[in-house]
Amino acid sequence: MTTGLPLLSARDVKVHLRVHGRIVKAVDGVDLDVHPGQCVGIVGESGSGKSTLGRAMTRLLPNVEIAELSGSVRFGGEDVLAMAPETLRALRRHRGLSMVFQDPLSYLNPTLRIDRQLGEALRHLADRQAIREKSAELLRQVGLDDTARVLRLYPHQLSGGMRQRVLIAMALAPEPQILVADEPTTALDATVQYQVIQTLRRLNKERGLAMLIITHDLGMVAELCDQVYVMHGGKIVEAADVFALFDAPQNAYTASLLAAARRLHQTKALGSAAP
Amino acid sequence: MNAILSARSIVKSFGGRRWFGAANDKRAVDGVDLDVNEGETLAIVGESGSGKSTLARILLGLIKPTSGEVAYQGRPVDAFASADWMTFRKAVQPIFQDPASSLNPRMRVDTTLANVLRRHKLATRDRFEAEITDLLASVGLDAAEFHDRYPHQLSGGQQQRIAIARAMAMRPRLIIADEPLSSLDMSVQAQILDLLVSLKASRNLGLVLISHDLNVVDAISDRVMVMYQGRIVEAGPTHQVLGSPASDYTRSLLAAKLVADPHIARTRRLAMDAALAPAPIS
Repeated sequence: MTTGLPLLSARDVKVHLRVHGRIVKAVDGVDLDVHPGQCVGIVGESGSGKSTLGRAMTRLLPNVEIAELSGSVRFGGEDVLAMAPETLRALRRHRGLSMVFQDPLSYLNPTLRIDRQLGEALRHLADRQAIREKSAELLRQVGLDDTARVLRLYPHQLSGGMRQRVLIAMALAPEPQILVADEPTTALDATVQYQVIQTLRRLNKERGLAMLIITHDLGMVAELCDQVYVMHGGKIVEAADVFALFDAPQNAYTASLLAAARRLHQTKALGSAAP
Repeated sequence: MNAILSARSIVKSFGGRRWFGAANDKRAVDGVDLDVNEGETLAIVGESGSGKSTLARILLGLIKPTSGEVAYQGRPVDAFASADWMTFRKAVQPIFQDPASSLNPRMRVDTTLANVLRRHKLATRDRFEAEITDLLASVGLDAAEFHDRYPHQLSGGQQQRIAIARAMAMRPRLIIADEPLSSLDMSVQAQILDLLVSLKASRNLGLVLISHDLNVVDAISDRVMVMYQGRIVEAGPTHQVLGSPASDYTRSLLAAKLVADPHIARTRRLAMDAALAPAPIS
């Protein structure tokens, strides 16, 4: 188990949204810790509040429809939820939080080549040469080794998996201490999904980048995460080490999720279902 | 065994010319043969762009192949008169990936089902209500609770159940399901999978399952065809293709399959890391 202070720590976070005049308790009193170097998963079904929690913890919630936002999300001693805009910008610009989302195409500008878009995330560097070198290095980190070619392409010329890896490269540009990824592989084919998962795993295990992975896919959790939080109806119903969670779930809802996953993974030919 | 639906040398190409005149044909389906037998589940596996959905649309008669022939019970669909199409449309039913967009948002569940019964003269008007109750029960929904709902008042899994009920209303012989589970949550996927298995068994239904998910394919299908860039790269009984794959592409699909068990996932990864150690993955 990890000891010491957590890198990112949520306490009693509540996000209540106003939807068609009704209050929906999307996140309802959540405690969650991510320690340095740890890969933490939030698992839940659609509507469980997991994405809203992820957006709250990165302070990316749209503020129009929020009825209540309370609790604290501490990052390096400061409360992200109460942070002044300039402190928040600094946190995102350097050694702070980065985020990757599900649909890479909607986060890339279709009219700019990849070099320009990666360069925007590297504006703090001294000159164009430095930016070019750093861009290439970031692409190599996410397994895109043909950097000279990739940098000259437009987003529509990239495959889905390449786009997602470009976005991960952009998220790494500010040298974050933690990467928050919301369903980072859902839009991708199986083989490409596996490559992206391996990219994330290398960043976590070899470079010690802490991660918070939000997903509905227990297969991805089994592959990547150290610690898992199971979310249902806006609350954390179980939090455990990944092996403990899969081997001996304590909560009935967790057990039902695992049973469903095992039903789908119940393999006659593949011989990998039995524990 | 009798093939309900068969296809021979199906080719479908799209596109034609680039901006400045050069020919630019893309063969989405490139010479596919297949047969689906009574009561059999045939899975077609492939990644996006493999042509599997185009093939499904051709089998359903929704688009015409560029060349090749689809035959229903031995009769080519090209020679169908409109009465034959009517029979075909009843016997071969589609289920699509996104149930929300395959249901009319302005139509209640009972209206959706009643329309089908009326259009295809499957029941007399005084039998509609009883028939709808039975149909909903067959997909595990209580008619009293669900008959007057609109699609937006249903969850994704419930919407997919309605789409299945609508298909079952025709008493089809063959269902062609294009990624029927992939827009659903995992626990709901398991339920719909069980529903398909039980319907298939109780009615001797043929099923063509188009999917990228090897877990689903393994759980439900008798035979598998693996599709890559419009061609079938491997075909055979499911246990054989997935248990001892002959093609590299099938092997790479299997290697990328996630397993919901951290022990297996990590043991397997250690083995793969060891195998790949000299060269970094790109």
